[in-house]
Amino acid sequence: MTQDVTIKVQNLKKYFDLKVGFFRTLTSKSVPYVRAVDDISFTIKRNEIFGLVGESGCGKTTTGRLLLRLIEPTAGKIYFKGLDLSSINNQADMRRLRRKMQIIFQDPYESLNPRMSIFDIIAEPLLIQKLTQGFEDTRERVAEVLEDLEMTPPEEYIYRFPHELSGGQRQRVAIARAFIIHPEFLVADEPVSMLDASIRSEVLALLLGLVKKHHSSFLYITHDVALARYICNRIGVMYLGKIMEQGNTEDIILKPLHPYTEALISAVPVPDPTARRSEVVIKGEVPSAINPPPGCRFHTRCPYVMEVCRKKEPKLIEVEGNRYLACHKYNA
Amino acid sequence: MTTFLSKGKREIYSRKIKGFWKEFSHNKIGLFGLLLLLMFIGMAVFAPWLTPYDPLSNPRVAESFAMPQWVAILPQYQDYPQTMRISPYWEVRNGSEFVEIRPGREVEARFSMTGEMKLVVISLNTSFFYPHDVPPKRFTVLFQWRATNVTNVFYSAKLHLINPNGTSTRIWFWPYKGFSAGQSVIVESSDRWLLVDLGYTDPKAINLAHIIFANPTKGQYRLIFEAAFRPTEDAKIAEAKITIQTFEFVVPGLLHGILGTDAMGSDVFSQLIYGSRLSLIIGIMAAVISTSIGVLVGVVSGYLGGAVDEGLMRVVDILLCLPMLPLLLTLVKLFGKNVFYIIIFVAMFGWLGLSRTIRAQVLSIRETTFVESAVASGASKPYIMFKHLVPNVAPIALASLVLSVPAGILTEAALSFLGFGDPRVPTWGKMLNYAFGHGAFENFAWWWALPPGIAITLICLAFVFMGFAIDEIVNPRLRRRR
Amino acid sequence: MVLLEIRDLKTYFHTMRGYVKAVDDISLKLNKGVSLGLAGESGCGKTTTALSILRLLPWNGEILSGKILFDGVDIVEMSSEQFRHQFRWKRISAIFQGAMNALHPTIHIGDQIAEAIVVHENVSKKEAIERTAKLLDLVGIGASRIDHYPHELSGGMKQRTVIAMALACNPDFIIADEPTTALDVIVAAQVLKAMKELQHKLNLSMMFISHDLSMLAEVCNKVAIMYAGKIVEYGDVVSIFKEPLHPYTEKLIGAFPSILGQKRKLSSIRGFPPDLLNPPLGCRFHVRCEYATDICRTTEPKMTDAKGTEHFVACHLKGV
Repeated sequence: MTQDVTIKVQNLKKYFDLKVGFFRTLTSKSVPYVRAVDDISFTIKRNEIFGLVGESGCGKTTTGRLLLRLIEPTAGKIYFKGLDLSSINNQADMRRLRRKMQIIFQDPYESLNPRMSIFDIIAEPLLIQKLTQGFEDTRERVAEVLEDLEMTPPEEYIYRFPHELSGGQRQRVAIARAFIIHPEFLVADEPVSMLDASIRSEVLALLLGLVKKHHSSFLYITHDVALARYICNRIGVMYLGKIMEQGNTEDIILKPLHPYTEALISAVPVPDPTARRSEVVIKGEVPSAINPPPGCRFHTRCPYVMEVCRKKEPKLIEVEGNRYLACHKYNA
Repeated sequence: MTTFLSKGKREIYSRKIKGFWKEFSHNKIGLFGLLLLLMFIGMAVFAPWLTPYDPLSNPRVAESFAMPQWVAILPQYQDYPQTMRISPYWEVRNGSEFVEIRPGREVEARFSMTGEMKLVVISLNTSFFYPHDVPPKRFTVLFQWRATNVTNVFYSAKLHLINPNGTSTRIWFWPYKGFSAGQSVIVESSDRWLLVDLGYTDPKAINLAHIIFANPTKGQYRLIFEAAFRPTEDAKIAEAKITIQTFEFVVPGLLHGILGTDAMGSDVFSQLIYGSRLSLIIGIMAAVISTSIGVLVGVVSGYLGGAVDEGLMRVVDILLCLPMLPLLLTLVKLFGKNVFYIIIFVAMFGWLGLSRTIRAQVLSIRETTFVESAVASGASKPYIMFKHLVPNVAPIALASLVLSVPAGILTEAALSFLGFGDPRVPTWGKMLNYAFGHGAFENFAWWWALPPGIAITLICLAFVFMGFAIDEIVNPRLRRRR
Repeated sequence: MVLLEIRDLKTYFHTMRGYVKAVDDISLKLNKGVSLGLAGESGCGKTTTALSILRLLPWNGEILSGKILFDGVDIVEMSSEQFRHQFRWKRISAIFQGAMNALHPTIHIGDQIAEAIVVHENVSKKEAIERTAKLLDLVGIGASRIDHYPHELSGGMKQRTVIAMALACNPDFIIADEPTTALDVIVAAQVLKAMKELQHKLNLSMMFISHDLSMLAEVCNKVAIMYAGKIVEYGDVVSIFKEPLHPYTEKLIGAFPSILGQKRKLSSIRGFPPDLLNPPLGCRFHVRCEYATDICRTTEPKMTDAKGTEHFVACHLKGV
């Protein structure tokens, strides 16, 4: 493992047990489970921004939480700078690890404790990690990170409560909270999708600025392919718990190889009424993750489906330089 | 945990409080409740200034079942007398050269004789005006007297009460004795022996007051105190000194105070005022304890889940099925009638419902992303519970706290009313218990029976109104986003 | 021919602190068979406009002045009974945001659609069910699902159910408020495609309300951009996107990333929308506009057709 790989995910799986009624547990042999994440692998290098793109229910949000150990994986391994995360089993080590990873959530209204002041919210990671040397030190660091996010003068914000700020301001506070402890790895789950379009770019710019300043690796989770193009160096396209295609963003967007990626890209609207687009030809909707289709997950909707697709699952293999694909059409 | 410049912390808290007050002040019912509560708190705090009587010592201040003073507005009660306490100023009526009398409120009579011994009688008198047409139900004469330096003499004393008609009744006498003595005398007009002495053998002749204060009732009455000195025959020197102190002629009125008197003649108003202290203390303490337990159990159960959650909720289920009042009565019988036990028992039952509510809230709060953020930063479970969960359930807990104060008050009142209360503390429940047990009904003493019930109702209303107002502010359905 | 004309509409909300001027003097026209996009960010007044047309304002909302002429008839003036009888759902119907969550969970979708028909028209239940079956075929769900419950359908199908409900009484005009925001990308594309086809087939007029300019670019013939209760630009979709005149429009379009073409920098606008209780004097956008001049701060610009190409803009700089 090279030194500049921050995150390495190998064959990660997460199955959620479904809650069923009392009698079903007695009568049925096994409890059904949702295969939210079903054997995915990828790496994120230092200073790299990796995007996980997909529609709802594809497992991207679950993956983000798995990387931060907010949920425990069912199987598979996650390595953070060479350290196997499943080997950490005491609280003290876990806490030290958490200092290096942070997450920013989608909903700016929910991710801030409504009863805490902005100052308390931003300073919280410092206090939990015991990284501060007293009040003045804390105050300075809060002011510093607020300046990075162009929320000055800090006094105007630190005494306020979340309900007094706008959506964009709240999200900046969430970003401030994530960066105050200088994390080496950051996960952002749709950080701007609930903000107005005209302020998204500004918030993203500030976020990316901080990522660069702290040389963090960044996992950006989104359903917005167009936005992923602007932010991510590399993306992975997820469908029903699996990564279908992975590689450099521009390559994938301009020349999608996997039929699903193709369909996804052609379905994304563009702000140009004169653009000629290829038609979306796939039909139907995403199947259930409790009983996913056998063989290739996408075969039920794929316009190029072949016999082998129904039986055998394609492996994610490298087809070109740094481009990975899981599709029988190309593996022939 | 984060304390930076105290200015900042103060500013944050003051904004929270101001925000809350702004919302609360819109709610008229809540304000009314608050007003009532402030009135009761004022009652409790300023009790010693509001009433001169201490209900714990329970002095008799007026007639039993005396009505409140303000009843005199009504024509049929206009003439009812209030308590009269007379400390008269004695004057010499019949003196003697052998007796040095010092008159006044306190009387001293010094008898000194040498040479020829003969009988000497002295008397003092005083008078007072009885202004009512209605005779008192009774009267009481209290005084302390002492005979000292008694040498070679026999002395006796008498007290007469003379009504405006001139009829004289001897209400007290001390037969000839030759030695020093002293007594605290209480002459009650209802005293059987006195009546018999005076010749009223009819067992139905209840009271001397009706007999003396009649035909006419209104007028000038006189008291005569007579002392006789009979020296021994062949004494050379005879001496005696008789002193009378703290003489009081008390006619308990038929009207008294703001709320009249009870069966023992004690002031009801002071019992009511001092009762507010107990009600507030009991109610608030029980509410605070039960709310604290409820929040603790709810948060721990909701956040930790699993076996802890199951276990605690089963305990709650079991306790909820127990019948509270019978159990309380049994516990009181077992452990004794102590007001602190009552508080604890009430708190023991009060937290059950709240723990369920808090647990439900916690189940939803723990899934929020701000809790997840804290976990992602490395927060421990206790940190999450106390820094994030408790503050976010605090508003609901506050509403519940205020609403559960009446429970404690009412339970204590019920227990006291049934006779299971702490006999040492003057509570409204105890007042009700005494009222019903000592003839409030029979004597139609509404001023004794109603006020404690009304007071309990009002103080519970105060908390309920405030609690509903807080609940409206705090309830998630009204929480505004954006 | 003009189907819908809004003239100088003002819809305000009463609050304790005064009037919130949600829609403040807007005018626009919509021809038959044309789809209009009403674009803007949160709080600009687009949903209030839709509610005003449908006369479904909440209790504290009021149309203070202005006319809404539908097929020549002023629907602001008429009584609510008359509007309900003659217009609502019969001639103007709506699809609201997240409407799939507004489906009754314990009634078959067929019954829910049939209910819409029976309530507004005097037909038997049997006939209503027949029409429902046809509608389900029309929107692509298939008549076989007429007895399904909403939870048995996927998100896209639920949205199509709602579309079928909107079409139940053969309206002339449908208002769709964020019809695809709650849907996945591919499903949204399918639903939009279906809506476009329906529009052609039934010669419907539609008003799409959305903050997503990319979506509007795909689906609308005309676009109106709203900001702080006012329409700042209005015209043909190609004209608006290719030659945006108003500074706000320019920035707004630039804020949407594109997967086609060269990767360009996304634009953003400093500050945030004004308080609609006390909007600023002059042009509502002047506080955030980089071209603002003195006249912008004092005088409100009027909508003018600067080049005579039916491309209207309300801007002192660009509207001359």
